[in-house]
Amino acid sequence: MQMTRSWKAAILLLAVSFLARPLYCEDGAAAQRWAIRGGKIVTVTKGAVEGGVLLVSDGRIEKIIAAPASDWKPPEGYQLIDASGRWIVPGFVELHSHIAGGDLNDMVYSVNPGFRTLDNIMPRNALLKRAQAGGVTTALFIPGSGTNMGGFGTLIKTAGKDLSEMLIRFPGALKIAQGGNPERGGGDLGYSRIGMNWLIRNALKEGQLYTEAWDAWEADKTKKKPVKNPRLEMFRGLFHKEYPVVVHTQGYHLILSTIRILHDEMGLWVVIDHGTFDGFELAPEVAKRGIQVMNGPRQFRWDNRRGGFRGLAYEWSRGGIKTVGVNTDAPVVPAEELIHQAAMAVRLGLKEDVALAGITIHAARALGVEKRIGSLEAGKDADIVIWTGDPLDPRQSVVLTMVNGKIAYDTSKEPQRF
Amino acid sequence: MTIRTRDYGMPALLLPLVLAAFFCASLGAEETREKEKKSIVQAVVGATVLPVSGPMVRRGTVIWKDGKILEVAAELAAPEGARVHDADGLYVCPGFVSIVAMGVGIETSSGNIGNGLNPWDRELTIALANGITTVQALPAPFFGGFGQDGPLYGGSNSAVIKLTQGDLGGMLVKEPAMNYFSLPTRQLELNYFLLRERFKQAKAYLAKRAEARAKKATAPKLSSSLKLYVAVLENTRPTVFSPANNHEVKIVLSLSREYGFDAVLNEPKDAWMMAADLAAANVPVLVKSRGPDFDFNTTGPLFEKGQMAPVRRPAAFVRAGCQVSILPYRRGISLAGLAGRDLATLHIDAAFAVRGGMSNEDALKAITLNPARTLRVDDRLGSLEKGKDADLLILSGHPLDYRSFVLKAFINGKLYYDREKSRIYREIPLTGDK
Amino acid sequence: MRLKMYQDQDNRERGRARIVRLLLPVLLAVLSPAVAADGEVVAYRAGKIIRSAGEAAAAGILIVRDGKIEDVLAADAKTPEGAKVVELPGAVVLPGLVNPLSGISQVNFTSGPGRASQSNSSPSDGRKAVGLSSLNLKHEVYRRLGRTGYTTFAVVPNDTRGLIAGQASVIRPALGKEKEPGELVLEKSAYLLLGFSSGKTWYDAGLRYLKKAVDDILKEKAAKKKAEEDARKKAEEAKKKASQPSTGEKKPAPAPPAVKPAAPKPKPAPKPKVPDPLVQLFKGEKKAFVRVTSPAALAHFFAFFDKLPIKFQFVLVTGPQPPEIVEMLIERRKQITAVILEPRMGRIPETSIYVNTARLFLRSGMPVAFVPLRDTIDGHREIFFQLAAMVKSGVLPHEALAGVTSVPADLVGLGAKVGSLKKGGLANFACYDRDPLSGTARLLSVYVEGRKVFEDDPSTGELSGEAIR
Repeated sequence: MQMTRSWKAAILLLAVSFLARPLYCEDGAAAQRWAIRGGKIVTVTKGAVEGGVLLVSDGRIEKIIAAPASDWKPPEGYQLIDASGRWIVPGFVELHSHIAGGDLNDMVYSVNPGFRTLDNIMPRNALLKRAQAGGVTTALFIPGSGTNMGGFGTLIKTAGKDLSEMLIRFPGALKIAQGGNPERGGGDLGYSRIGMNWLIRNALKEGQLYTEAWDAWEADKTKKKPVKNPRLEMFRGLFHKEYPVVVHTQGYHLILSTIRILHDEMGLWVVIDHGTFDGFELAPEVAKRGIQVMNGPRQFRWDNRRGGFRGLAYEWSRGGIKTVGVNTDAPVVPAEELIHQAAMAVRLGLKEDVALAGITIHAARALGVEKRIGSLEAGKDADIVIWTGDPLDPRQSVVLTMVNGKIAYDTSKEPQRF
Repeated sequence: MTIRTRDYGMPALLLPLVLAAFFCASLGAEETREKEKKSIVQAVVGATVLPVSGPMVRRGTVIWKDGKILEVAAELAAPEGARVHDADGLYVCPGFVSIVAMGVGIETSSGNIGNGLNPWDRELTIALANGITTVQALPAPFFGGFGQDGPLYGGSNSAVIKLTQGDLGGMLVKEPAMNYFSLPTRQLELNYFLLRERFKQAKAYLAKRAEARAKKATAPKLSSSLKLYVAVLENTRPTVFSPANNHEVKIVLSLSREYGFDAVLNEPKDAWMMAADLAAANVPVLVKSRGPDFDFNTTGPLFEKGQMAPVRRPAAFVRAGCQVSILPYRRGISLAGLAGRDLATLHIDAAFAVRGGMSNEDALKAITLNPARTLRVDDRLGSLEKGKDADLLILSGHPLDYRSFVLKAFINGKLYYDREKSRIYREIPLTGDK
Repeated sequence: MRLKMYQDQDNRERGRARIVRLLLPVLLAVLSPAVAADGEVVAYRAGKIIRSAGEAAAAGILIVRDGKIEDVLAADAKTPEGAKVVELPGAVVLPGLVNPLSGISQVNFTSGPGRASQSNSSPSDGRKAVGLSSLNLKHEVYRRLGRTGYTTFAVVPNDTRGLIAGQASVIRPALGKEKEPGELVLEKSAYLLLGFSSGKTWYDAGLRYLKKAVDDILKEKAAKKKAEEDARKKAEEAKKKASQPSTGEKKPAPAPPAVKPAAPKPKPAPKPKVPDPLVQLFKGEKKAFVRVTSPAALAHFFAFFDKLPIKFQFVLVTGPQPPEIVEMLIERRKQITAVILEPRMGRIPETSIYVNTARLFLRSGMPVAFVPLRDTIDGHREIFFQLAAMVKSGVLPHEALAGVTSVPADLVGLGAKVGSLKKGGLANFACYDRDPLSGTARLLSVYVEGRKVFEDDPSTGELSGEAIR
């Protein structure tokens, strides 16, 4: 297809919104500047800072003052947020969410590489607002697992008045469901694993060939210009490893086919996004390949050979995935309860600091956006959540959620949502 | 083709002796067990004790004998000859009481629950391992799993049971526990008319029956359609209603006022608005501390104006003076894999109530003494007080701490769960070990 | 094909043994009569005779007279005058096996299950039902029983789902000439079979039948006691009156009592009453087997049982159980005299750890009898495979053998007659070509009361196995 003007404009607009940061508040005023005084600043990557101050400007963390003087006052133009006695924690990163806009699955075809959730997003929907009250500031909004390849998901912030404010990146990731839901009935291809694996491999291979053809053309290695195919366009970034494929896969044998086909054969950047049942027994192989695992929504397995519970995230960690995180598969578990999933992972054996890192920095790195989000460090997005105490403790709650430097949820001004 | 003649040689001679020895040993063991059944004094010392009926006791001791608590005090030495459980650095609190539980401890519920209990039930064992020592047991719904939610069925069997794993004796506390009444959902004008008619008829029946008893004549026949109404009016136990909205709450209050029976409200979601009325009418409430999952509705609710987030509701009822029992997120034990969403994490649901503004003390009471009071068994259980049943837990941390595990669970003074010996959490390290 | 198989088998065996095996059926056919005539004495000489489980196998001579065992002599002893001698070289002779609880009398025996599953829906009263009444000689099965190695069966009535399932009759395999089912019977009512499960219907049935029987007995006892008490009081009073001094004045002798106690009317001869087996049970005059399978059902049975004012000892028929249930049952050793199990492993619940329930019972001193996993002809033939599996996981070989011979014989009250080859017992025995627990043993022949009811023909290399009439 020809690159018409409208297409070019669209791409330019996307690029702009991708690169730009929201520079204005809802009412058009300049972005506010904040001085958040702790309390305990949990940076995640560089330890905790007691009594420090976070300075926020232009939607980003400007700097952290570790030990402010006793007579310290917020600088000119910076509004003080007093969070003494509280915990200041980075916003959480959810890598398996279905609540940003509905219409999860379109199941006519079993592979749909042209689908994208970008256009479905409903900013300011109630479910996202409740997610904010659970300290979740970033979500990967992906299609469901009703088909083997549901489409491309969108990485968004959970707050923002419109898509441009919310968008972090599209495509966020490709969504593949290896099995355990996309099985077709009614005599269609893809009724069992052998068929589903074929559908996945065939589609990916098609995309790989398309990418190679376009790469060759753009590097002037061939005179034959390939045909533009909107259905396959987004595979190019996938095979260039600009974004990963997140895979709904669980159980030992299914995950084995995931790592073999998607990582070993296709060379893709893979994130395992369930990893439940006895999948953890494959941990050494997964760790060897540097594949991130976000375990959930199931957090345990009843082992009927031993007659007891197994904590899944804990077993993944023991097996070698030291960066293991959790997800909610919202709304299977309500989005705001992402931290509760982490708390359950801790109860069932995972170390607390690992659990917290798993839904912040490691989740961010899994999507390649660790330079922007996932910890409280200078230069990163001001996605900051103030808690009454340790977020893992169900007895504590969020008092304030800030996304991109703007307050999205403030219990001093509105009722508690969670 | 050889016969092992060895097999029939020496062992054949030794066998009678060996058997005799075993028999004597088993008799001897029997005697020891007999002795054990007689007065054993046990004590737990050095713990942070949360009696629920009173303030926290540091370095506390709880002493019990023959299944009843003798003493709860600080820095008290265990009596001579007592079996002592050292609980230095640990917590002790009453066993948790789940105001409802489905499919726990019941083998069959045809006819009644008491004759169909199963003390070897797996779900019972898991609930006990999570600190639940008493439940109001309801039969499991025909379709399990998510079917455990929703209103409680009118006319349902119910029994208060203790989770005495492996022991049928001591398991049944009371049957029936409460009456269950379903309010009409369709053809409301007609059905409410019928409802009121039946209450009138039931009242008339009770008057006739009282008359017959006074005359020592035979009691009048009771038609099956009036059975539940008569049970409600007899008021030997409270009646549970599951009102869908505040209008139905008002109906329940007016019926209970008019006919003078005790009502209990199950999941009266927005009735926090009328909590003061409920408190004044002494109507206990059973409340969940979190909202539903699988909610795809992007349009709400948002709890902004005139609504209250589910997590805040239990505290709102308590503030108004209502007696609140925390409901488990789901009524049964689920082994599907979603953690913290079923009966096993009742104490976590209590912790969520603290998130919503309740105090730790009230939250613990909402899963111990309050459900015991609602079930009218608080003379026996729900707190650690002299004379009450020795149903207690030794925990690795505060009962509302999400990392705490039950280390030992005692019911009627007997040790029924020991984390070290049980397989259930053998693969899960305690917090300190991680 | 058959010939090749035969030749292959042939190649495996060498020398004399092979010839002996070929000649064995010939020998058996020629040297032993199909049916021993009355009064005849037959001497069976074999290299390995196991008289009773627990005894060493020894070479010897089994002397059978009139279908009974007269003696087992040493191998080098002199055979009695006029005895027919039957050589059984290479055979291992065992007592015929005993099944203490079988459903052969049920119509669909070949498809089973003989031991009907318990159901909560009908805890009924079948105390009058007797296993014997369900026997139908027209059915082939009674003649086939002998080909299993079992020579004694305690059969229960057709419907065994009740609280009181019925009375078991002990029978032998049919020889084909019987006209009445009664001819097979060794004991018409060996024990009463009871069952229990969890649920109100069972408790109600228990109250309706068991408790009522106990109450009736107690009432009877109380009435009797009262009658005795009254009689004693009367006698005392009479004594008192007699010993009282007279009033002194001369008075005419008091008139004799106006009415003389009338001569007792001749009571009509009492009708012969059929004793109520349940009452007999509570009076200790009848054995009981109680079938309760699941742990919950056991808990409820004992909860009910412990409340009965009169208790009884019983044999427990149950399924495979985990260690804590076995422990609970061992504690009731005084009430449970033995257990009947299928030769199957139990499992610790919720794990894949298997335990040998029979071994746990045996090590705690509880006698164990086994019944085959499938209550069919083939099921009975497979018993030794199943027992071998038990031995592999810790049951001693002699315990396994006792579990299908002497123990079940004692449990049905016929320990003097069957279950071992002792003097005065019935000549029920079976011959195998090697240790039956070895798994490759072949059943060569079976004798019931001295008559051969089965003979295997190994010459074809396959089982033939029609019962000899």
